[in-house]
Amino acid sequence: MKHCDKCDIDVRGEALRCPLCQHALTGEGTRNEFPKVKSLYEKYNRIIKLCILSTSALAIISVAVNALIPQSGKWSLFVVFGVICAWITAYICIRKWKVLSQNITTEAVIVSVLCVIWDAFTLWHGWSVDYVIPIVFSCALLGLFIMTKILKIRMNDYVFSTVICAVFGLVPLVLWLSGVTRILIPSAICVALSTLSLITLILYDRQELILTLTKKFHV
Amino acid sequence: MKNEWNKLDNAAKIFPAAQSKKDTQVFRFSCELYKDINKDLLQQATEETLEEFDIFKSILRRGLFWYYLEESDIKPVVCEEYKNPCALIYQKNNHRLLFEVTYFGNRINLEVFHVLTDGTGAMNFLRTLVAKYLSLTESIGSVEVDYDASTSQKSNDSFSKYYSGKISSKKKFSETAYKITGRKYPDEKLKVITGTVDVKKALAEAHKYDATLTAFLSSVLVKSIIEEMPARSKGRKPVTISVPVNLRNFFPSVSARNFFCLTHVKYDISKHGEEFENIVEEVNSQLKDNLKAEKLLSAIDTYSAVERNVITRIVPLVLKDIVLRIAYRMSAKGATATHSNVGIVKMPDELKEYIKCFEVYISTDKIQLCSCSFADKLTLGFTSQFVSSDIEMRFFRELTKRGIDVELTSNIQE
Repeated sequence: MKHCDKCDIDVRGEALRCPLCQHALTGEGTRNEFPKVKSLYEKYNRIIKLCILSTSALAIISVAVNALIPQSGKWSLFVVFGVICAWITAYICIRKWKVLSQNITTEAVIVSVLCVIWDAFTLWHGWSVDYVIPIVFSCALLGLFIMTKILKIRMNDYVFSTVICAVFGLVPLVLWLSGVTRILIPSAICVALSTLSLITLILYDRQELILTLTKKFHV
Repeated sequence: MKNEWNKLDNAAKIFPAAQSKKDTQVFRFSCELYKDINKDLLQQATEETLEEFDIFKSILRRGLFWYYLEESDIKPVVCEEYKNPCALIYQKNNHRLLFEVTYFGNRINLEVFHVLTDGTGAMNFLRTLVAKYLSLTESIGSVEVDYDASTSQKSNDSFSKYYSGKISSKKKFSETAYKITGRKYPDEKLKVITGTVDVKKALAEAHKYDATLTAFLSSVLVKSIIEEMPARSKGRKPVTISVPVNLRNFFPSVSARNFFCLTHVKYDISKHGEEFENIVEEVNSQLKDNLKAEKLLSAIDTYSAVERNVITRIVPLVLKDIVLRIAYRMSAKGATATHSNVGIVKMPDELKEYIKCFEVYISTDKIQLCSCSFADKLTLGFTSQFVSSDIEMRFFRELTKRGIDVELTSNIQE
């Protein structure tokens, strides 16, 4: 075993210097007690950095070009906002990659909110509440149902995600009753699907529903 | 089967908010055997041990108001050690177990996220794991460790059991302690330096000063810190050592979850000077004073009262995380370093000949000493992120000066 004469201690392993005083060690080394650990290098780091760089470049170049030809309108704002929306959506998707049902729910909410903002800043044509919100939540509910019940993909949070989507899926009802929505069919389908999902949960997954709500809302 | 779930115990509630890459709140218990580890048998032993500790099957989930533990059927996978000691275990969007069993050479490692349990709980798991592993490798038939507890007793929240509901004295605002500074390793790497000494010699030295082993070791740590303090800092702020106390020694409990409390030993250089005799006397007397059942019960009441306050309960978790993180950082300023004495590790007599020693250490963003003893060996595990090892050097040289031989192991391999 190696020895440090300054500290008067025996040192295990193959180190050349004393871990305490860095004085040179004497004697025979023994097997290392810890593995050599490489510094963390994320495989996807390069790809992500390239994506951020290229989208930033796109946004900045479009702002610059727009500044040179202001008479064409403020189209670069659309590019910039589009890039920001893409980042937000992609970031959430990557973060929640391993929790599929949470991913679907969060993306549905984010996409709806971003579309409403987009609609509001483009002279409000109402397409976000007429089409986007009902279609997005209908797809989310259908997707959750098909993946869990038909494809039997294992999803930890199926019940809670379905509840959240169904609750948001009832928002078109509120919007219709308050006169914000003008196109009925997509909203009607969405509200119907939400109600059906809630009824299905209560009939077939009642125990898990109660347990999930108890766990999530316990004080 | 996901019907089993548990609220976090009082101590655990701070850890999810407090954890970060710099301070992962993960501790490691290791057991060194004489023979190299067999991966398949270790895997089998781990799966069998997990059946006796239901709480270890949990994953951490977020509710609207609090985190909670949910039982999962994820199978633990044993592999060779591949990352830095006490690396991050809990990741927010990744449902995984809150403990890991790895091995390297002849050593079995158990790393646990502090949310799940404390040192005693983890040590019981490791003891059971080692006993099952040795039963398989040495073909000596099943050997039971002395841990008599039912499944529900193991999953019991003892803080809740002993909370009396009385409103105790208000928590005093803790004084800021001297802060150790220095260059840190990149990548938040944790430096581990473990020293093994003869427990009888260490005890003999402690008894020379009429002190307990914990008091003696804490005093040597205080002395080492003082010797490295810049002159202008001496006397300004106290050197405070945080000493976790196993509450099972005072209140009957066989819970495999958290049941500990932090006490503080404050050493003021301006009042007592730098002589070792003064340090030991002061540290020993403060520890004795802190370790009284009424004081500890009062601490349980105070901390539990915060958790049970109506306002605290209805604050959404998103805000709670921020507040708890700030509260943790502020309270961390009240300690210079921590010394956690896990105590004596007992194993059945039939297995002692196969086991060399046990080691403990925990992640920290300051400097931490964890001690435990097995048979005639006392292991002292230092962890820190500082590049400088001067405090550890002074600590171990103080021991060798007193005729206590030290055998050192470290993950610094330059």
